[in-house]
Amino acid sequence: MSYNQRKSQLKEKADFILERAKKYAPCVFITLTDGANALTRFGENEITQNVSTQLFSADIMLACDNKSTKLQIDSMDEKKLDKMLKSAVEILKYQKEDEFFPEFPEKIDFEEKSDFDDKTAFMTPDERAGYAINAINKAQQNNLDCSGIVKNGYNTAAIASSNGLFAYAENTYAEISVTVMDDKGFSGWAEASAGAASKIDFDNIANTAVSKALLSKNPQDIEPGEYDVILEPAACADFLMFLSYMGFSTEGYYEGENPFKNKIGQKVLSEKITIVDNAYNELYPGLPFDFEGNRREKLTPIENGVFKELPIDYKWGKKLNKKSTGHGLPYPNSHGPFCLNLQIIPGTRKLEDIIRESDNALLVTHFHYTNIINPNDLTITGMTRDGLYMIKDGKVSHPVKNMRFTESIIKALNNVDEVSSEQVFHAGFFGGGSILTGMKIKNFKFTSKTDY
Amino acid sequence: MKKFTDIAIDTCKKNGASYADIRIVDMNDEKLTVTNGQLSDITNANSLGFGIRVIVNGAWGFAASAELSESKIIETAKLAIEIGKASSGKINEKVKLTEEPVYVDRWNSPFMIDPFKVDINEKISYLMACDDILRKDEKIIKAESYMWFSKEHQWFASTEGSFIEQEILRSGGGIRALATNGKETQRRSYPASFGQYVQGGYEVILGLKMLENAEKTRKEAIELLDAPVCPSGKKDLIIIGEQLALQIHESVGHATELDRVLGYEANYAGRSFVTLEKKGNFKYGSELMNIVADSTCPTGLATFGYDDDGVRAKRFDVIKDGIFQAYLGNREFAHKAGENFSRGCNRAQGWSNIPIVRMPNLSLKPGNSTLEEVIADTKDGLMVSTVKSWSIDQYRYNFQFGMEIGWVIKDGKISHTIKNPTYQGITPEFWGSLDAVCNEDYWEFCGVPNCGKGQPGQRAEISHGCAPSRFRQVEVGIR
Repeated sequence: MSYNQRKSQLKEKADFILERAKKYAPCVFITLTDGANALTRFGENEITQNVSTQLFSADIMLACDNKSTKLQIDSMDEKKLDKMLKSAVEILKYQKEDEFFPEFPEKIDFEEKSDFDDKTAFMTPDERAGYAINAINKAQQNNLDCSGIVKNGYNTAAIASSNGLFAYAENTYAEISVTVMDDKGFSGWAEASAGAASKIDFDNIANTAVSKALLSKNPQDIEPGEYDVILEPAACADFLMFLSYMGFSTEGYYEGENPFKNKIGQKVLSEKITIVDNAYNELYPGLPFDFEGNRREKLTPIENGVFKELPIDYKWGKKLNKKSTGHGLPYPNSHGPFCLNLQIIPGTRKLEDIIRESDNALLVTHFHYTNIINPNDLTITGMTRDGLYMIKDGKVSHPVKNMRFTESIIKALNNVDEVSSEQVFHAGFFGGGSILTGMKIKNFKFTSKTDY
Repeated sequence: MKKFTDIAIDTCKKNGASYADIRIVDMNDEKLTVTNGQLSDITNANSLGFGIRVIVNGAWGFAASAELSESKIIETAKLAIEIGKASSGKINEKVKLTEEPVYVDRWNSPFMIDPFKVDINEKISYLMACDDILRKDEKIIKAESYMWFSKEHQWFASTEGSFIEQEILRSGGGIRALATNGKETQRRSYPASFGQYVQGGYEVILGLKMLENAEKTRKEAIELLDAPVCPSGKKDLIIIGEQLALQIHESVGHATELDRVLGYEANYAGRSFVTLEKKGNFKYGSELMNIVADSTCPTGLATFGYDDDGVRAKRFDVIKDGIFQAYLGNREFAHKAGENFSRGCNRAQGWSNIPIVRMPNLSLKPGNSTLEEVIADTKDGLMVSTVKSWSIDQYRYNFQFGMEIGWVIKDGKISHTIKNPTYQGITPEFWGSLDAVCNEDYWEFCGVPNCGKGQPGQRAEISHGCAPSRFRQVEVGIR
């Protein structure tokens, strides 16, 4: 199927829904997603689950006199749709008028292009199994246990409205994640995601997980306390996620919780930190439009440590007398505008060069089960996982048993010694994701330890 | 639906499946949220589709689609077979299911008032009334009042001959107030941080008494702004309600799921410290620790007639007098724990996911004390309530929790409120320090509506029953 055929298929579905929805309300706005997702899961050196799912969903907003209601469906059953439209429209009678109701556009000015790779979208179960077996074989050659996933699929997305708007975008994705363990449970891990399977070095991911596991054998105990840490890119993902939810929350900044409240224009993080939101990055482009019908603009929430700007949707555009930056979620919502394509701007030196010049620092592969302890200073907690190593004289001297950290992200990102030059894509929501670097951070606080 | 399930089963048999099942699921969700006087989040969703699971050459295959038609069922069944064949290229042993009785049955959860038939104005008016009370102080910058209803209708059929129809209705809601003094924010929620949910109808909402508790919720959020911070050090800790439920969920429920124990979740959620040799002899906690798995008890979120393997719901001891007894397992993994029957713990989210091991309702049995007696018997302690933050390691061994509110106990009396309480522990040491459990008068079911697990990620609903309990010398105020 070609780009135009996929686009037409979604347009037909949009028209089908619009035609019926317009009988119930004069203003209709639809977000449609369609696609397929396949995932091969392996554990204990065998394939354990293998699934393929076709997924369609339509999020339908009906409005009249600046009052709105919503419904969601995942099939095109006409009777069901009519029944749900009839039920949803009842809410309009009791909904209050929203003074910040969006002015949905008739068209969006964006460059239409396809990021669709057929080989990735339609990778066969045998191909996925092949990548899984390759990783398992490498682990078994070293008497290790292997688990992980190989995933592929495609998304098509469109927004359509009763005033004639129709915008379409599509992408494909592939992912491998591998955990390798010895019989005592000490482990190594690696993963990669990309828009095309051909951009992933599947072999290298498996090799990295194996070598990390081998390096993790016989870990030593160290006491909790403050340590300099070198975070691999995956370990920075959690920081960026919580910054996005809390620190870059426009709703929180003006009407709720945001640790940077009243600090726009002030230095809040180390001058070594610059974070942009860029749906047009080369590594993994995001949706070129938002869920209110605006073109996504590039944003710089943090520039050289200074808190510079927040994402804006229609509601906040009206409230603040600004233009939407194209970061709206489907209206109405209580989250406010949201950054989906964050990127940490890289430094100049590779992580291995930073390690080479470090002494008495802990190298962290990634974190596990992080969560916010205190939203006021963005203190979070979590565990290290799949490889924690002591660096002495520029080299890994020995592995260390996993530790729990309890640390303020704001404090940590003020203590950044260096940002590395890597740019690693980490998959996120709604076809988004983050582009991460590694970092060296001074005085990072670990508060307890474990036996594993 | 029988016509569709017959086509699926027939296609799978003809194409070489040694076992197959199909689940057709029709799910309706409604969620209404009022934020600061405006109906802000509206969910009115329907999801209808089917998933076909097969065993081919001893390996699993699964495919799912939202297009419920004869031709799509045949196409999807053939895809599941193809996937199963690909899986069979790397298996250590052929999938072996426990032998279970065949059922042709219908089961539905009881309720009094169908929430989907309640006038929408009544629901919105109730939420608006809660919102009004929550915002009666300018220090409250964000008030949220919400209710949620979910009706799940499922048809299960297998090549063994089972045909089971189930209908489950779940309802719940909650309120939240966020206060600020310009320097910081504090949140207070009722009846739990993400609301309270059980099986039942609109009568659940009326029973939650959100309106009656809105004023207290508002006042406590404001009180927290000026409350002292949680002290640090070792204290006797009394945990109440939802927080103790989450402690059971994270440090017992997930730790005893058999797929985790066997290593099949290693790449994502992790493994478990409760390794196979610990069954029947491991001292998980003190003698007061009695944990029961029960998917038969009324109103539990994980109460059902049959799990998604078609196994009838069960009740069994997981921990008895502090000793670990049984894993939470399914038909596939039971024999690896030395059992020839399934514990009935296999469930999937909706039609699009393959069933995986999921904890059933998991509860701490009540003890003999009253809360007043436990407080009076505590010299230097804390009492904590309402989940705010949770984190546990990949072996379910080292954990740390944060709560919305706490109270200092000095010489047997509640002294004052504290903010930002936290505690940390190691699972068997922590449960080993359990020395008081309140009696059945204090025992309540707390619903966890959003437990995530698996790849692709799936959500499940579970209830945990418990009464306030005391743990000696726990590390609190983690900084």
